[in-house]
Amino acid sequence: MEGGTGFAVELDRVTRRFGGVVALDGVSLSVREGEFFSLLGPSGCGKTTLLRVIAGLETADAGKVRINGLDADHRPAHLRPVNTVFQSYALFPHLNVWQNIAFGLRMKKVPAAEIERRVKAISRLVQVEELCDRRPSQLSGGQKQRVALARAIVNEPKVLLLDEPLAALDVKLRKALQRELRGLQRRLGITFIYVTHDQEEALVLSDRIALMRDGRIDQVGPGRELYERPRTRFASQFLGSCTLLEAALKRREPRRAFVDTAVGELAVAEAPADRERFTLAIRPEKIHLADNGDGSRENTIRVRIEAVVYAGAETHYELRAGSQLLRAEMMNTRQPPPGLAAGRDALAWLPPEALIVLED
Amino acid sequence: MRKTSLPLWCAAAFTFVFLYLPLAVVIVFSFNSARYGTQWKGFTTQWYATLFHSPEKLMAVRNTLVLACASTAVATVLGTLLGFGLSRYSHPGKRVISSLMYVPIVIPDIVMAVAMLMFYSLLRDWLGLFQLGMPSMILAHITFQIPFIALVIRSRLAGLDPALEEAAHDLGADAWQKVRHVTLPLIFPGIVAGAALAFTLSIDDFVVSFFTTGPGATTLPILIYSSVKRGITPDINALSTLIVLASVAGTVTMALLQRRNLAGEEK
Amino acid sequence: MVPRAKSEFGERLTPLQEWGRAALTSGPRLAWIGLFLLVPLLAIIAISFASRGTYAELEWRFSLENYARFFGFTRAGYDPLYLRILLRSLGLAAVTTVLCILVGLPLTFFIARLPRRFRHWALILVVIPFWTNLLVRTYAWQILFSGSGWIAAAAAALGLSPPGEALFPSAVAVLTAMTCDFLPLLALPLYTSVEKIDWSLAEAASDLGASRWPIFRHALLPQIKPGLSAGGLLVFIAATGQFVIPDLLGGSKTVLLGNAVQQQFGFSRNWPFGAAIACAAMAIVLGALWWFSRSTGEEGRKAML
Repeated sequence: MEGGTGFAVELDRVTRRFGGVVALDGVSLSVREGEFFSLLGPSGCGKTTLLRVIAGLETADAGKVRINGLDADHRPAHLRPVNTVFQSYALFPHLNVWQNIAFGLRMKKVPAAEIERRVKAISRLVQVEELCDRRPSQLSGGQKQRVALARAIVNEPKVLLLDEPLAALDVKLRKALQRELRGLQRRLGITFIYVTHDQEEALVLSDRIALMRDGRIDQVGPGRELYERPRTRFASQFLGSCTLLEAALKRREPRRAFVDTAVGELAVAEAPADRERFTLAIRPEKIHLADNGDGSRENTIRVRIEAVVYAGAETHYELRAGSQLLRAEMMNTRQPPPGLAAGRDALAWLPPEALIVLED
Repeated sequence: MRKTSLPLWCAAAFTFVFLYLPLAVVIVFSFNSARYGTQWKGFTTQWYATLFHSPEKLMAVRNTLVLACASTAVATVLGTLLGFGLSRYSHPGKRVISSLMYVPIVIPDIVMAVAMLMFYSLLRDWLGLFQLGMPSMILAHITFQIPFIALVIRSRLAGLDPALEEAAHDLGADAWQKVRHVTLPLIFPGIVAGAALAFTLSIDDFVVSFFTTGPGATTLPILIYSSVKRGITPDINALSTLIVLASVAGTVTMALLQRRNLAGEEK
Repeated sequence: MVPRAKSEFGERLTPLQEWGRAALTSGPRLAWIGLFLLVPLLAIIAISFASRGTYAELEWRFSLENYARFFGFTRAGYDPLYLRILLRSLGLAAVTTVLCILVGLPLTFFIARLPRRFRHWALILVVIPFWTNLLVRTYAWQILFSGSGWIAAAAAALGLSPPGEALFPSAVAVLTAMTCDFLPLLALPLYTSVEKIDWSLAEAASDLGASRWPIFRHALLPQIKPGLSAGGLLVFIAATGQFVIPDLLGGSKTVLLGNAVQQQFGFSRNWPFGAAIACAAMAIVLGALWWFSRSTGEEGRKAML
């Protein structure tokens, strides 16, 4: 019941069921004020449901929701200091752009002069000024999105919820709008909670990301942390990709541990204290490939190159060592060594620090 | 198989002619200068003129319009609310009521007419209310208009993007504001279409009116029926032509309003 | 993926609250329908079991006499008059349905082949006559079938009837008028099915060497079944309960259920018996509907709308 804890939204073991399906399973989360926070996950993971619970469009079956420190559970959507930008924009077709933007202010009975001032300011900020007389049916996708944004922001909400707002736009437009959104959020200082299934988008936009799966939060943290230190298999495969190696602990040493894997003995920087068997993950760009060299360094293994795929900025390599498949990527900053061709043998070095220990 | 073959065109043309033949005949013969019989004798508009001099016919027109307007007004309000209630709230018995709604549409109109008649007679015997006449007709009309309107409203509501109403809430509208500023404006064409439909149904209705009418409450269709029984006269044709035009106007209005939906939406 | 929240506010109303809200909006409407629809229907059923007093007033004496009479067991011996009427009604309704189908199929196919922007208007053209006054359309057939009309002349020329004689009252006239009047009733549901036809099936059949009739029967007919049966059912029901058409065009040889009911409420003044006949008609209609929904399920119901 305290205000000003610095958290814009707090969720405490929120659960939501639909018939027999559990959409949200005891989710707990804290979003800081002024943060750009993303909910990331595959379809059906519950991220949209979570957003709607925060918005008040759905009610949780269990758990508490606090907005700005105040209990929001029993406040209906129209009384919460929260506004939503819908995936389909949901612009009112029977009103023009100006009336759409002004809608929330009109509902709250804000005086006309003030409405005029604020709508004008917002439409200038979001660059939809010239469109004010048009109907939604006359707007392009990008313009609609801006109007939807303006309509939400003009109400000066404490938290802005965005439900995959860029999903319907083509790639170039999406990237441009991503930059704009980021800039807008910085300027306005409003807390943004952003739902997306596009991991690149989440990484680019967010201060922190919550990775969700099957109604639960898999991992929360800044993008870098999620990427460099995924804790679960799911996290390792959803953000980027990883090669997974099953490991069995052989022996420990002060600064290293040694494990047995399908590709032989490997050194890892640290091993879990409580388990003997665990899974290692390594990002493809961290594997170093060479067509020749000294194979005696630790963590160097012989591999056969099964495929080479040119992907513009990088080249992807599919490797095999015995029964284990590995994926490696190298940036095409220089011509790749000719020895790294399909069917050839090569040496792969897996740096111990790059081997991530997963928790599951 | 793609191109529409000639036989198909012919069949379709023939069918359209077939469909419109009765209407065409009535309209054409309303200008027939022969007093009796069905021979074409010459063009005249005298029968339309006589319409205005016949108190009996004018009264019937008045009754028909009063009946249609009154019943449409009430039925539209009730039907809209019913359409709303059925599509929005789940409550016990919803499925039953939903199916019940179709009964007046499907049931042969004579069964319904007879049921109304008996019901009103019983009421009259037991409660002393409801002499047969305009009131009973209005009530009967409302009863069969409501399901049609409710259907139209329901399908219109179903086509409404739920996100729009959620957005209204999200932006601060309470339930009443939401209905007033968002829902109603959006289904308004449906309401008008439903009203047009109800109006047309009322004007055209014969069977139900016939059974529930009383002295002084003759409507146009009833008048036409008794005239036809005695023998067709051209002034009846003129009258009928006017009714037909009114129905066509109603139908076209409805069609224009439903234009967003591609074919097949109305019955 | 996410279903709507259960209430206007997005909060979960307790079931009680929800009922309350539903009651407020739907309540009056349902009360109306309940009162003015259900009760009369119940009244019919009740009255059908009552008897007729000596002065033609209603006597509340329970009796199965009316139903017995319907099935032919009158006091004067077995007289299946009403059974015959029933069969005649069903027969005519069936023939009407078939005729409507025969005429309606080419029509709907034609419309489905039209360029998109004309289709809507073509359908409206089909529907317009349907919404005009049935009475007017029916008596128009009297004009058309009269002795001095050209249809009669054509029939005479073909040797089908003596010259100068009107072609009504007759079963043929009734059939023609019913087919014409109910055609749109079949066409609309049928069209919704025809529109969705996947022509590639027909092309595949043709490619495999099938000729026109087998193509229709195996590739197209199964696809349009829902619309066809829905429309056919509607026509059948409408035709079964018809009163106006047989009254104006049928004469005494073509008395149908509808006329029989009307007689009892008219000059015969035997309301209970009329109620019994009406109940029989209702039972048939409901039976047909029930059978229909059993055999086609959700698809058919959707086609009907």
